[in-house]
Amino acid sequence: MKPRVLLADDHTFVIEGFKKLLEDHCDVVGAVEDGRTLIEHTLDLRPDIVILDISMPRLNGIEAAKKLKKQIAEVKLIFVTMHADLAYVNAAFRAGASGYLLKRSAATELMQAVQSVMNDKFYVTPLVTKEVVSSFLKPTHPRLATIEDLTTRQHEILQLVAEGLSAKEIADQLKISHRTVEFHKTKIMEQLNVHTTTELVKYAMAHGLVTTA
Amino acid sequence: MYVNAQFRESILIVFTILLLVGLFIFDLYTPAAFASHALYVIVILIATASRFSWMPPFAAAGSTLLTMVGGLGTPWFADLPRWIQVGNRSITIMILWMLVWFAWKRRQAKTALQKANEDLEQKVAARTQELATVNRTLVTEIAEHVRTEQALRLSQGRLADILDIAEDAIIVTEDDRSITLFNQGAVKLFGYDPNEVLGNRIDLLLPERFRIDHPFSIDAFAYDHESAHRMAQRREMFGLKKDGSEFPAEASISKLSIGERTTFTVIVRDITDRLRTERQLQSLTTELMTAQEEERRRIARELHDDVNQRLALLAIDMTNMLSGPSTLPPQAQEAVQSLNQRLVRISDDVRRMAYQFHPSILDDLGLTAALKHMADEWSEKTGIKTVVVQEEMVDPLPRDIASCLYRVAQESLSNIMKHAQATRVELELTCGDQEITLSIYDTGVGFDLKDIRARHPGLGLVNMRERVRSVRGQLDIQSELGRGTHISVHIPFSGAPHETTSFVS
Repeated sequence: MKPRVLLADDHTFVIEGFKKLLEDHCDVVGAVEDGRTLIEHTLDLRPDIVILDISMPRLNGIEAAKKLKKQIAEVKLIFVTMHADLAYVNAAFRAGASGYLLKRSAATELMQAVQSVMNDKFYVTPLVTKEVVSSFLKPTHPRLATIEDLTTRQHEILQLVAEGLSAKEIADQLKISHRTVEFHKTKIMEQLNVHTTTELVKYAMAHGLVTTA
Repeated sequence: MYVNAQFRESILIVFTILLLVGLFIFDLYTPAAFASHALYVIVILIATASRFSWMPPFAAAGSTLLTMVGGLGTPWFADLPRWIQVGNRSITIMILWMLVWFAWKRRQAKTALQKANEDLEQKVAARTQELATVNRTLVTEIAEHVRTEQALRLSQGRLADILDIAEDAIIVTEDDRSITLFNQGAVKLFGYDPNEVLGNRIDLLLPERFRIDHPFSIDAFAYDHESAHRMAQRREMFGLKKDGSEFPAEASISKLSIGERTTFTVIVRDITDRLRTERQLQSLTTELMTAQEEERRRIARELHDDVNQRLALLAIDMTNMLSGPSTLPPQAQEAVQSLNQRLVRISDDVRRMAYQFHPSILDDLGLTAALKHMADEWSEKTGIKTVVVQEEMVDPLPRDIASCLYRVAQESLSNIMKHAQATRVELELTCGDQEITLSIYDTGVGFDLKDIRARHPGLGLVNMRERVRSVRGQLDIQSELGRGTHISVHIPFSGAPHETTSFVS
């Protein structure tokens, strides 16, 4: 049985090109040109796979993907875009994509991607794997932050938390909103991988931010 | 007259001598007991009529001599004692000399009176002279005064003309704020007739809310000795017209102290039009920026979504030519392969170009992803440690706000790279209840805010400020030499709630 595919791209010639590439192996159930129509048609047509672009009018591909995945978890999404940036790849997979390829290599890779995805696998075009892999090797994100990685503002807030001030008092003192203080505090705890205020205070003391009184 | 007087004197002398001789003869022939010698008194009396003062004593001397001689020669009665004769004659002589003495006294008094009279006349003359001089001076002074007054009137008239043709409202007040001058400009501006305001307090022309905290601060100003006579601070305030309407105004106050008296000259200008123009200019700037951003976005889309998509399709077609049962000779296949690679490179270039016009990531992935992407790329390029802390927004920000924040961050990073020599940069994006805040700190050399425009006109700070203002935001720059720079942008925004973070305590 051929996989049922819905195409989404605001360039008709691209859609025509894809149709040609897919016609032998897939059942192309429809083609749409913007994010909102995509959501409507997906709900109606229930395709197995949605092949979509990121840059689309009305609702872009990333936002559309998030909404689609929320409503129909089983639909597979393959992004075919112009963007080779890691940020796009990240955003696409976070939004629920199963495949990511670039338009310029679509001719050779699209069927392969469709097959991988149908087998519950992920497909990432070799054209971006270099960036993806180096991002794993670069010790930026997953690594635990040190005191060095805190910003001046975070530093201030950590110190005030350690001195025993409440979020409201900190907000008043730094003349920022209460919510911002809470955001920073949560963010600091996330970055330092600590889970309670007590741990946070201990951390601050250990790093000499506050003297044990 | 003189001749007459001399003639009269001569007659008088002759008459006196004749009278003396006559009386002497009469005395000789009258008996000794008969006191005819007493008649010599008449001679003396006549002699006093003379102008010459020597006449009475001369006559008296003559009379005395003749009286004594007459006493010897007069007929004698034997029984009459000798001493009566002598006594009588002595009495006569005494009377004669008393008369002389009286005459002399009288003459003396007359002379004194005459002298006093002359003195008086002299004094009167001198006084008259003096008065005449004073009078002349006075006349000159009056003429001078008239001339001065005319000049003053002319200059006052000129001043009044100047005050009247002045477009600005010019008001002069006394120390107690009462109005003493109200020019035509003020009449036009405030709608009051001068008669209605003169003598009233200037508070009449101010909206209620300004009256307590008087914008002129005349009291404080009045005792500021330094500003005895100079243009005071220009302040923006509001004026109140007669019809009760208010208008935005700019006021300049100058203080003038002459002796004890202090007056204030207040020049008020209606700045409604200027403010309107400023607002128009600002809205034009905003429009221009939006238009520019839109145009860049359009060009970027055109390049990215049209040209580049076509190139991609071309690549797909080329690849199709090579895949499957190919009829092409191997040489042609190689050529197509090479063409395809060149096509990919062109496509990349076009993509980069489009990105420079407008970062599509901003539309596609949102501001936080775009900022992170930019910061990462920048950090890699410059080798400067960059820490990014951002609050994730659930809903995408409005396009203009996102663009504004992105451009400010871009401009700031570009400035830091060019000038700051920083070793560390921090970029923070947070969303408060009412506003969204972007902060960019660097640990670089900083700059003196005062001469920033003169020394670094290329920093694009004006552009940044305008951009922020176009979304009703505020741009703050804090910098100190050697202590880095902190740029913060606050934009009012409450539309995008951020993920509620639970507080673990």
